[in-house]
Amino acid sequence: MNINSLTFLFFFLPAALIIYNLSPKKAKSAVLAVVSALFLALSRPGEFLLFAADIVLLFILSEVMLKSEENARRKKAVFIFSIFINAAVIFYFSLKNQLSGGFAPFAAMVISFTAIGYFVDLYKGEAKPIRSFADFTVFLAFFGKLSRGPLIRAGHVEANPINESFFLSETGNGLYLFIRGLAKYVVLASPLAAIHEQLVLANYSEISIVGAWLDMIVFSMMIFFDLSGFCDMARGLGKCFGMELPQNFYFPFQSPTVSDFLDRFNMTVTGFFRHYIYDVLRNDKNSRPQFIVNTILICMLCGIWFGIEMNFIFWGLYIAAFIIIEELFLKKILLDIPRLFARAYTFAVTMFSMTIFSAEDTAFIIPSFKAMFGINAPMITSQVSYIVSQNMLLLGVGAFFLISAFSMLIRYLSKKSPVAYSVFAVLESAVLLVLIAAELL
Amino acid sequence: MKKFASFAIIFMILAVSVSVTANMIANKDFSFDPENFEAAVSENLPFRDSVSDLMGRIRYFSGVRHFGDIYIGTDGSLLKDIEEPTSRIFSAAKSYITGYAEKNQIKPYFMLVPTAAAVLQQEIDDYAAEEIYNQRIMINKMYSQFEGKVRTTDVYQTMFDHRNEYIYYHTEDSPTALGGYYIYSELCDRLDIPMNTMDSFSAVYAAHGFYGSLANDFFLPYASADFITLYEYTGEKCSFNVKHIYPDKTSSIDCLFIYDGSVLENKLDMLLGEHSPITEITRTEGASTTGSILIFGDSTAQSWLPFLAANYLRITFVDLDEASYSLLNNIVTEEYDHVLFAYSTASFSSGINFANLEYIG
Repeated sequence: MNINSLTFLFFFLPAALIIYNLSPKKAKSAVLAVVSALFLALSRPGEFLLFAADIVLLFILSEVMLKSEENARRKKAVFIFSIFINAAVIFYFSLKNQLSGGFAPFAAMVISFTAIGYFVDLYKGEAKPIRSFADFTVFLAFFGKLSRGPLIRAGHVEANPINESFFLSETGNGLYLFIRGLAKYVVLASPLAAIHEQLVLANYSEISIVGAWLDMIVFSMMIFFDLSGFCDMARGLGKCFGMELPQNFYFPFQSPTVSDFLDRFNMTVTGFFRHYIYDVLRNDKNSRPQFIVNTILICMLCGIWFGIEMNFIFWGLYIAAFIIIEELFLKKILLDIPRLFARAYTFAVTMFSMTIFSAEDTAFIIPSFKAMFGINAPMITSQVSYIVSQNMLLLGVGAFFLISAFSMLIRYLSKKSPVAYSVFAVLESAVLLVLIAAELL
Repeated sequence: MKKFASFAIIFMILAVSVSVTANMIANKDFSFDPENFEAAVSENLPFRDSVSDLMGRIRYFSGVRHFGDIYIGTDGSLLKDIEEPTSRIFSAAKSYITGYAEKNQIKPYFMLVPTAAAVLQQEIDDYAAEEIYNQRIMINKMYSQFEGKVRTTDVYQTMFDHRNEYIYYHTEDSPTALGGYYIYSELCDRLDIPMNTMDSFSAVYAAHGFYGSLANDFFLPYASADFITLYEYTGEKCSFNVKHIYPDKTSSIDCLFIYDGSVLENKLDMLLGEHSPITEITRTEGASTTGSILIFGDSTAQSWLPFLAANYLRITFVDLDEASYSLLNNIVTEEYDHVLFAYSTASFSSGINFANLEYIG
């Protein structure tokens, strides 16, 4: 069972919501921990025991660490051991996925990186300790964030007040956000992924100018709707269960600088690397060489988050190169010129980066760029023209929702007329549920 | 968000959830296997068909003409693609047919008839046509495996040459009677029997505006209606008896056709009455020929069997997938001058039970 399945939408989620809302206030955290464990067991039955053992061990380590305040050596040893355990889990699951040809092991990475952040904060005395096992389980493995994140830090998650009106006020909002996220993934990202696969096959046999450009655009839209969809689902589920999870993705292709793009693209992961690695490594704030090295390191890590593959490493290096150029001289110019031009520059740079990001075969990156600029490539092939003719509506809808205009309109409506916004939200949810069901049938 | 909206959204999810659960309980459609459970939820979703239909219409509106294994042609033809046969299907066909031939010391004929998806590719986009499974390769592959022990008949080129005529139904994965005539003409050449020209037959337009099995509720608005033409043999005075044999019953008609299609559930049964496990066609008078032929085939033979009926005194048609052991056991191969295996590529690729040949007497 995945978060994007009919079983989850019409069985697991309603049952979890009913049990959670009927349970006494003191037991809610324990209920949520059990629900999250059940989700892990159902979604990853073969890995559940390993995850369960990992979480129990990490909780014991955190307790030992908290009881070692007086003993600095023991505290340090426990800290190092906890980092080792989390690194081992990430390594194991990454290797396993690499061998099976799967995507990045997001659940393991979300749990382990969240734990690493917690142990670092705890070691430095910057985190509020989590003493309840149920709270600890929810903090590491809340089922809503296991698919793609966001990464959260202890004390940085706002709790919604759980009172008599909680069910109607927050659950409705949460479900609305969840449905929108699910629709982004199911109705847009998944079909776009299928088009991307068709385009890759078409471009392998004969790459054309339109084929290369279209693949870049389709992949950009796909990655946008995939990541922002899962982000909305996580935040929506968070709201339903009394948590305000952080935003992880915010219209990155509209950023005025590439540096800003990285802050809006998978922002909690970027934030994690910035906080726990970049800031720690940056001893001399004015040292340019150190800035360059650290930027390259952070960008590469942001790429590797999606998998230990050469294309993700190259993507990180490409993004790092533009951030460094901006920091050296371009940022000043970008801030001075009209915002539209700055955005156009970032849009072009980041869209091109998607050609690197999407290239499972890195040898195909250069031919793709060459084809885009018409070097030894025909205008269009019959395959590409067929793919376009079969998917015009989806491509048009995807392009429309890629920009923030619709989102801004909704926000404007919610401020100007809450009643009209509420009616719209109900209608939108109904339509999206029909589309989701149709896609998942 | 206002409370009424929150309530409405929660209600929507819960209502669907309750409805699915109730349907699953009513249909006893529960499974502890996660994949089966997801399939059961999908099957029991309220308004499932309407939702699926709506999505299909949106896709059609956006330019999509390929739904599952069916392509919608520019002329409203529904072209059903076939799956590549497994190597097991090829080897089973080869071993059972050659084994049957050796046992009876005969050299049978073998014919694979391409479907509309292979022949009418001018009706779909060039690239879509490239995506469709190449039946030419499949036919050649099967023919080459017989290594001369079976006489093969190639109708691919003939059908392709006549692709601009009404040789396939728009909404049924079968040749029309006209298509059947072109298949018949190739067969005559291969079987070395005199071919009756089209002048020997008079066409009767028997049914108009009918939709075949491919035109379900979803495809109906986009499909062109079909018509059925019956070709009556007028070359010489003769009449026929068509006997349909089932394990438990036998029925017969004294004609090759049923002219009143309104009484038939399947309009294609106007040709030969119906498709049965065993069909015996005999000429009752006016016969100038004395030959007999044993044919193993599928329901698409209804398009060309009426033409062949004029050339033989007796035709026995056997559907190996439907005939029972006892029916097959009553067939004596020695009684026939010719033995022909004739299948559409669609039914061949889905697997024919050639093992049943061992029961033939």
